[in-house]
Amino acid sequence: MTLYLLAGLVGLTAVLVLRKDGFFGLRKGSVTSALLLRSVARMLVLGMVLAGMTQVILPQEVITRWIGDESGFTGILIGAAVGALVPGGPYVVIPLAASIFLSGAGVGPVAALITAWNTIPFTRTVMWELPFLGGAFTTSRMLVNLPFPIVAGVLTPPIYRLLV
Amino acid sequence: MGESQKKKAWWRDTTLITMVSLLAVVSLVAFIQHGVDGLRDGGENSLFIIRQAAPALFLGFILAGFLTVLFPPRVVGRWMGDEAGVKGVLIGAAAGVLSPGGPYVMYPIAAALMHGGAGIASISAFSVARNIFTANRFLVYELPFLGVPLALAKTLSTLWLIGVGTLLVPVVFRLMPRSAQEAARSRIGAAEQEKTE
Repeated sequence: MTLYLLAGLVGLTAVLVLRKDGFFGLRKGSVTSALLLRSVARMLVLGMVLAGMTQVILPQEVITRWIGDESGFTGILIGAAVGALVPGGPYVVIPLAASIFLSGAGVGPVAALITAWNTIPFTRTVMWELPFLGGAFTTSRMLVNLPFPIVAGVLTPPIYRLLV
Repeated sequence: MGESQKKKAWWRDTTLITMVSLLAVVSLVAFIQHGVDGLRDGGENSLFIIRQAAPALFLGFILAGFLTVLFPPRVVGRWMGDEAGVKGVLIGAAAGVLSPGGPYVMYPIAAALMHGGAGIASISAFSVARNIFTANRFLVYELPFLGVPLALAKTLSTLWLIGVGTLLVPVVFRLMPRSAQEAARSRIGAAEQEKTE
């Protein structure tokens, strides 16, 4: 289903690009795609191998106990803390989150982890946001975003149960 | 985009070194715990993940390339810079959702906007939307790796936070000391020049 959706979107954007810039646009788009892919390909493969390897060493009992479905609010807090501290792009973090989920982590903690990595990431904030956007904006955004991972951890499980 | 990164020697690329070290540690632990079987299982898991995600990843990258042609970052920036009020906020949020690429694309755009005088509300909308929901990240990474129910449930439960963030970040920003607000705006130009040099 994902693939059909993606393929449809690629088709749609290709038509729009063709109408906007003709074949030159299509070529430019493909070159940009290739450059994007090349810039992350190495990390992407490494990230997936890391996720595969991590699955072997993740102690399932520990995961289930601390961030399993029964872990409640503590699990959500742990998930959020891990998400805020874990560095790396989506090619590392999303496969890792999937591995943790497969090893018995609950929906709430996994949603909190991903949302924390998205909204209150430690390294990205210090390395990128602070130098580019300055202290006042970064602090304001961080303060407002702080509860977001908890919200995700609390709200995602009931919606998930409706969908499965 | 990422020019300086490309020219860097591999052994000076801290992200790569961190990744390889992490992988080495995890593999070592797998070997100590389960011997050669552990490494083989890990390899099989990795191949499974790669095979499962590859088609979606491939399509996702093509999509990202086409989106960049349809919405060139500079042009989007100009739209956002020119438009004030609700329209600027909506364009900002849409730009955040559609913007492809990593932080090296996002922050220079945001900084250029701030420096160019775009409203703090539009920049907040852009920044918060970019963090909470990115079309590319959702389609390329979240759907294939997490599966439809989890990816969708997480997205539905957080999407409305874009609105909350867009409304609240400017309010908190105005509570900051005036000097810090001014410093934010002036520092942006300097950081941008450093990065592009």
